[in-house]
Amino acid sequence: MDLSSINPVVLIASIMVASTPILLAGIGELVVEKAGVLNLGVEGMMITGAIFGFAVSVETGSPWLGLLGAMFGGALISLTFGILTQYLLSNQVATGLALTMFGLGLSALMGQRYTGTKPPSFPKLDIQVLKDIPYIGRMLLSHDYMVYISLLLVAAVWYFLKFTKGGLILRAVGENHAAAHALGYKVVRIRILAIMFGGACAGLGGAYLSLIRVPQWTEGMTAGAGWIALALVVFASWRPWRVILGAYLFGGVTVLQLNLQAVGVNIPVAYLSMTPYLVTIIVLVFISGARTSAPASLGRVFHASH
Amino acid sequence: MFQLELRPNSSALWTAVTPVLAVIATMIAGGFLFAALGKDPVEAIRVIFLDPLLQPYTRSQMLVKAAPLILIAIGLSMGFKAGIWNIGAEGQFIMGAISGGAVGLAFYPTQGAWLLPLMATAGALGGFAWAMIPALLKIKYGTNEILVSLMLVYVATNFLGGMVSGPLRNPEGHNFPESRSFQDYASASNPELFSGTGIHYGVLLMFAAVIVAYIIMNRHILGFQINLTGQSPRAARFAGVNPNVLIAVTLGISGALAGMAGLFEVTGPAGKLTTNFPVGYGFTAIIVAFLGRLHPVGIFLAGLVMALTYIGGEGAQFVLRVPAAAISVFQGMLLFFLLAVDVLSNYRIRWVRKEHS
Amino acid sequence: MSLTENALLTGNVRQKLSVNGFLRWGAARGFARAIVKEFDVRTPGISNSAKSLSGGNLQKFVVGREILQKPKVLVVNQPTWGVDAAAAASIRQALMNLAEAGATVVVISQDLDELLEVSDRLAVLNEGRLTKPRETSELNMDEIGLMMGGMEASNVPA
Repeated sequence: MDLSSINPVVLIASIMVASTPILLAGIGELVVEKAGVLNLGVEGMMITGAIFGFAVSVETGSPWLGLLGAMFGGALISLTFGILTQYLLSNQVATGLALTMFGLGLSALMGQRYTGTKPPSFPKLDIQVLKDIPYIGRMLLSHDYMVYISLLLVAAVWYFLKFTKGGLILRAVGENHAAAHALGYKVVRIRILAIMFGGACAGLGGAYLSLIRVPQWTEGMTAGAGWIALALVVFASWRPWRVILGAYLFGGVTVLQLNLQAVGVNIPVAYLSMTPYLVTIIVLVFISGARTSAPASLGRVFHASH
Repeated sequence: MFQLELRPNSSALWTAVTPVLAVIATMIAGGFLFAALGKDPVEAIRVIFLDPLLQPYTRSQMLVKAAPLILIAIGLSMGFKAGIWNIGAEGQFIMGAISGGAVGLAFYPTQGAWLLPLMATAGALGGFAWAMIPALLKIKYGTNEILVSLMLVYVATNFLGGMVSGPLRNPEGHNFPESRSFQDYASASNPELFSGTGIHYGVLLMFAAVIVAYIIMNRHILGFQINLTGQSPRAARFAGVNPNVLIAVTLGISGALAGMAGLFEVTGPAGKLTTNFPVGYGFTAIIVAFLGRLHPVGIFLAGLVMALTYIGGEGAQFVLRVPAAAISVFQGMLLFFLLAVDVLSNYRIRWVRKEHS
Repeated sequence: MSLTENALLTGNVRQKLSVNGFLRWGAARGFARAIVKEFDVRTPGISNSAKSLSGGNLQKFVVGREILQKPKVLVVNQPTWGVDAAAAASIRQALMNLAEAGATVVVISQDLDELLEVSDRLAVLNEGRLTKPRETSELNMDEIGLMMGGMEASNVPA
């Protein structure tokens, strides 16, 4: 075993890449939960996005169209969740689980033709001047575009929630849907839009896995990333910037255990692979001790006559 | 436009009819799905839903497939009723199989009638202990049990991988990552009890669990407290129900049942511990619990229906070359349709003319 | 939750509605029926859900549920709030009967007439302070008014 063979520059660079899928899915789910909806189907939406993105980019040859396709796929499947929970008033926990199961099945079905196919490669931020900056260049400034887009997206969500009227209305709906309804806001419509945004983000996160990080299609390839994204929102106490912190922490654990596997630490691979999930549990324990700032209407059914 | 009107009393008729409606809707939508895959929809539905019922072998297989689903779903339903969401039954199922299996393998090759009961106890304890992790964390720190129990599924899956390629690996197995076969170790195997019926000890346990659960939920104060907590946590606290006790009890029961289901599966139909041992029974059981309306008798029937789709699905893979994944789409759709038609039991649909103001 | 289950909610122990944890649904239904009959609860049947009852009817049911258990101590807050006059009178009568039988009944109410009718002793809560309880029969309206204004009735010149 030789720990010195782990290069910190490469390590941090790969953490950024490893964190991006859960960051994208997490920021989407944050918006959904801010609107008072608990969508446990992130895993299903991610894997749907992964296969939609993969299929579209293989068929068209364009990775960008693939990402659009992933957003469309994620939003479309999240719409079933939206219709069920918002119009047919179904239980959000059960519906989210159904969404995950359905998404996993659907993606496996759609993906059969694509197993073993290679997707078109994705462009990187390739500016020689930036790249040549010692350390920083390789570590932070030479990734694919999506890494930076995901960070911009977090900033945009933060700005939207904090400084715009739309963000204020969305938060009002999440805190007290009865009051928001009484003020004349369309609770159901706002929530549907939030759910679709969450679906699109999760789809994007999934496509990042299948198109950029891996890049390949395998059945069930999200392997719990959607659930980690859900934990991320709790970890972040529903604050956008903390989602980045959480995502990089979880990404860090994942990358670190992969690196330890690679350098042949004397621990069986199976136990190292557990660590991201164990760390998630430990973090959840620490977070739940703190004062919660969950939106007050989170997970509650809204019906105008209630 | 349509408007939903809350029913003062939820409709008993619709509660019973909606699962049937959901199954029919799934058959229709499934027909479209198969047509889209280029298969004859009528043929596909017949292969999945009818053929397994016609042959004695597949009929007996229904009980074999249904037993773990029903066992797990019975446990889950109690928690679900009280609003305690154990999503990690798959992990408890795996841990039950590992801990019970490990006890059996530790005594290899000693024979004795005491061994299988001992293993079943160890399996129940393994599942119980695994379920107590989210329970205790929820009680002590208020940690979300959905996320914790689910994360523990991934931990259990990896643990299984570590076990079968380490301590529990078959020493005579040419380094394959799998345990000794329980079927070759008479005292540790869970055999078919009546030839041709598919009934093994797990099936008997399943019947017992359905009956006991029915009694607990309808005749015992524990069931009353569970129902009460689900409907109104505030009223439950006024009536002296301790929510922490309910969390521990419902998660504990479902963990123990899932653990025993895992043990009887690994010593019976599966035969040995391998990394392919978990096939998602713990997740499918969630659908079974809902399809059965969280009611023991309903769950029994729902488990049989779900077993039918499993066996019919295997038949469809073989006869029609339908991909295996189509069956999980099918099961996902079933849950969707069920949740969608559920609205009918709690709300009345009214046609109202749009008001002009 | 049906009215029967609602009756079971607090009646379980005192009415012996369960044996070793096993529920006696027959006895629970009997208890619920007794409440409905005694307190004139308007409902098509005890299998109806509690939330389907009107506010006043539900109030009668809940108050009745507690009174019929013959507790040794009963604290009720606004027992006749939203209840029609005839039913209110019967609730008051039931409270007095309970006290007559030896129970300690504490009635909290904003309805002064009600308190004057049912109580033996009266105390007033003003700005977080409870006055000394006084025999209701010895008090007149002026004294009560002063107590409510924060003045201890004993300081009031006769």
